[in-house]
Amino acid sequence: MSTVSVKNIDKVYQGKTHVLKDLSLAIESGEFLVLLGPSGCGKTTLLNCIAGLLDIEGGRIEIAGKDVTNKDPSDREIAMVFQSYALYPTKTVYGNMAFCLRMKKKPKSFIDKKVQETAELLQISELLHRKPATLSGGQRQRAAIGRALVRDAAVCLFDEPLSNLDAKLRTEMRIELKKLHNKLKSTFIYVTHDQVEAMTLATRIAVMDGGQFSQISTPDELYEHPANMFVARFIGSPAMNFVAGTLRLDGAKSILVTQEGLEFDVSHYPFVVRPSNGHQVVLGLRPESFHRPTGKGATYQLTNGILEPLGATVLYYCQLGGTDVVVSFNPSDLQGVKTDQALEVSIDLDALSIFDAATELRL
Amino acid sequence: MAKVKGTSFVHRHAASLAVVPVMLIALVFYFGSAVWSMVMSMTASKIFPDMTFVGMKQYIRLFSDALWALSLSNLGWYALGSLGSLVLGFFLAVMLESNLAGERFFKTVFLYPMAVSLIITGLVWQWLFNPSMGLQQFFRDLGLQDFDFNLVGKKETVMWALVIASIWQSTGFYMVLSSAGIKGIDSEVWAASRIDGISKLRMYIEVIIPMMKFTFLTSFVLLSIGAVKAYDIIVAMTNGGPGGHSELPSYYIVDMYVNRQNIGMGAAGSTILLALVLGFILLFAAINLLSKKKE
Amino acid sequence: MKIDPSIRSQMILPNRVPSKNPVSKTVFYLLLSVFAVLFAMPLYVMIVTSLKSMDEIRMGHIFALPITPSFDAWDMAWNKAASGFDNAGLKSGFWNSVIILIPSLAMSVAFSSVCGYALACWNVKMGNFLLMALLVCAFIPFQVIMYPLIKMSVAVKLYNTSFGVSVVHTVLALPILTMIFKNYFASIPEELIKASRVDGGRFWGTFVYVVLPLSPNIMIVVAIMQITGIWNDFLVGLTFGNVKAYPMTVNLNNITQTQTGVRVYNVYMAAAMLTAIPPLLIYFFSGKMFIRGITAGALKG
Repeated sequence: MSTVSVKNIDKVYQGKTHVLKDLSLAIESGEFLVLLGPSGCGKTTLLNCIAGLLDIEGGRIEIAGKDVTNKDPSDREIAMVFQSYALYPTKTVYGNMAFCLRMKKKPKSFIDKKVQETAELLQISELLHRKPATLSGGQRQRAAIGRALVRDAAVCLFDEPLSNLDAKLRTEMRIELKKLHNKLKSTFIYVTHDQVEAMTLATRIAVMDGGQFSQISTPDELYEHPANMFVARFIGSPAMNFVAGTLRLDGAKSILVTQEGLEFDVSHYPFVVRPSNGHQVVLGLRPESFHRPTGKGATYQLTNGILEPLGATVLYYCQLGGTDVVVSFNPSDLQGVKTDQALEVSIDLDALSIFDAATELRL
Repeated sequence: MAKVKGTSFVHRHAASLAVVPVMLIALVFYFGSAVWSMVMSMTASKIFPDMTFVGMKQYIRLFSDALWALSLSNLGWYALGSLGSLVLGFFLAVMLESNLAGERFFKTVFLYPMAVSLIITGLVWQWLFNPSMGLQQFFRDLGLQDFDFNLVGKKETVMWALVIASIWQSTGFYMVLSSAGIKGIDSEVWAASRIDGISKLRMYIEVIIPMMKFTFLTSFVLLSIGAVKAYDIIVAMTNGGPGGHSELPSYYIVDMYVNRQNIGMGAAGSTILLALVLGFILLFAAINLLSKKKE
Repeated sequence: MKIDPSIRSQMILPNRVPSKNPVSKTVFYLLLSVFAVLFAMPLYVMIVTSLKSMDEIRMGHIFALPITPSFDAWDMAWNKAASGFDNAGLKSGFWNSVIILIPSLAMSVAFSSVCGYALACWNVKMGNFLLMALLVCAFIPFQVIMYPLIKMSVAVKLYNTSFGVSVVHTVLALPILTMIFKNYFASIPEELIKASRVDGGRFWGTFVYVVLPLSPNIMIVVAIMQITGIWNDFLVGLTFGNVKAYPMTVNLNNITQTQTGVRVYNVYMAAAMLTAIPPLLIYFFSGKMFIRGITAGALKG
């Protein structure tokens, strides 16, 4: 049992800046939950509140079923990995990992065994006698994770742990972290502003914006059914294309008409809320939902295109009607295509999203 | 043609030419003077420079002067006592860095003596130590009839008086240096220590103090050189008295040059002082080198 | 939602959360307050003593507030006390200090900033050697070079003049100030200097149009250091100064060391206050700049 539950918490800085507003979140045992959002959205603040590094002004926090709202960080059965690694600079890697166990008055043999085991798990056994200043970024990262893991904490908190690493190392460490989570089966709460990191690591993602949750869901669900335009914009790279339009309801048929007069048949769209005729909407199209014409269904013209080959895919910057869109193709799809010609495509109508133009919420 | 060439020379070497004044000043006024002192210390100079070479004779005379020997031992005690300002400064910094309200107010109070002339420091402490009207009288009026705080008047305690005044004067400085050292530790490390359940005391003992050892060593060197240079405070507080028991080498040398007009011995004393300071600079350089290597 | 930077810094500084241990906090406040009182005490005693009459002082209540506060001692110290040559109080010493201060401030800042700029931003032959030499010079005690300097100043007829004192102050300040300027200018992005050179700026043009406009802060820091340092100097003023125009600290010392008659502590303290007020004002109003000055002077070497 290592669930984490956050109930209606509020965080106010200096009595005036309301950073977290009435947040609630239940995290299951063994989950890898990622808090995702742009900088300043309150995700690190929320993590610090769960850790107990910050006091909250309202609500309660439970870890493993126990109320820890007023407990010190060290009494919350948590471990934490920091963005700057925060290793104790005067201690060796061994000293860093052993420090907290020593403070808990564990026997020396136990400490030694525990540290060696953890070091082996993270492949840092040869680094145990080195000081942090002599380690590379990736090695420090491992040492910091090691320090967190030796404690066998039920819940592990990560505050943007990979953001100080270069791109290649970041990818490697991402995979390591995922393996580690599979092996340990403990609860991970992980803060990042990088949507790729979130999508690849998480079992569930909580997208935050302005101190509130925009959507809490699995990565697939977030990608396929974003609950609002903020999430739609934030998840996926390149980002979702938006085309403004109006809904025309005609008996069983629903037609979305863009400002330029393009028509999309959305009769099979699973509306969450039944919209009215003439509803102002925004159509969301993933770059991946465009294909070369298959012969059935409507086709559309892409104009004024510019190609950006990326190897595995080709990005096609162009216009649909009068709106700028980005489309992602297989290189083979575009063989023989000249950029000065219009390109005919069909659109996967099952993969689109429709948002209310005024509230930006999914319809 | 020659003129054009000249201008371009000035332009091309403007940067090198710009450092010439400072370089000349360093060479002539500092190194020249130091060499001059060393040379004079081996001559028979008295009131006027006299280039008769006498070897180490001036040094032998210097070290057989009981007052010089006394001034050297005074210097040792003074430097040792002044360490108090480093210790106190560090503790004040630790308390102030615990995020207390009024940090700025306290810092302002602890640091203002730095802004005041040492002549004034000496004068005000001489007044505070005045046996019949100063602190001693205050405590006697409180009922402590035998309270003895006439530190300046007695040869056994006069160095204590100087040390107290010097601690009052320079504690703020070492507080600021220590504060900078403590602030140097990443805030996330503090957060990590809270997660790990490590007390502040433990953090200071095992992490922060070891981390600041170069700050402390540097402070120690600065403190020692400060003690070697100390002059004004003695003039204002004790004039070397009673009976030379608060005399320091720097005071002795000025006295030798100005009042006793003995260039040879003054130069010998200066050379010793220079050697002392050079020793500290070497120590300082070694520390710097070591700290860079560690990083 | 945008969060202003002051609050952001708090968000990532969890150690800045008030300590949860009220006992240690109370103990800290208590200790700090005791030391604050001890440190403030000499200033307090100076002020109250300067406002008392000698009769009141002889009663021996050093901490008592003056029964009948009067500025007679201040008047005496400023206008009449036996301060040296003309025995007309400290006021002439005040102006002598100003006359010494202004040229030495101008000269030391001018020479050291240019030299620091050359060392930091240009390729100077033997630049590192010069820096090493300056580091050594900064530590050499004045007493070591005092006598030769006297001889030299006699030779160029600067001995016993106020300008001579200014020159000696300049010489003494150059090593440390040059290092401070060098360290500061070295933090200016190299691209700026390169851009200026590409645009045709030479040594002086780059200094005047690129470097100086970036340096008001360091100039203020150095000025504060120099003003307080020179104002508080005693030994240079005493050994090189004109006996008819000693700086204020020498006058103050003369007043207190006059052996004739009774020791008038109220006048001494008033004189000490008068001498201390200019640097104290600078200190209280400059705050962080003063701290930056003393730490830069100490550690950046």
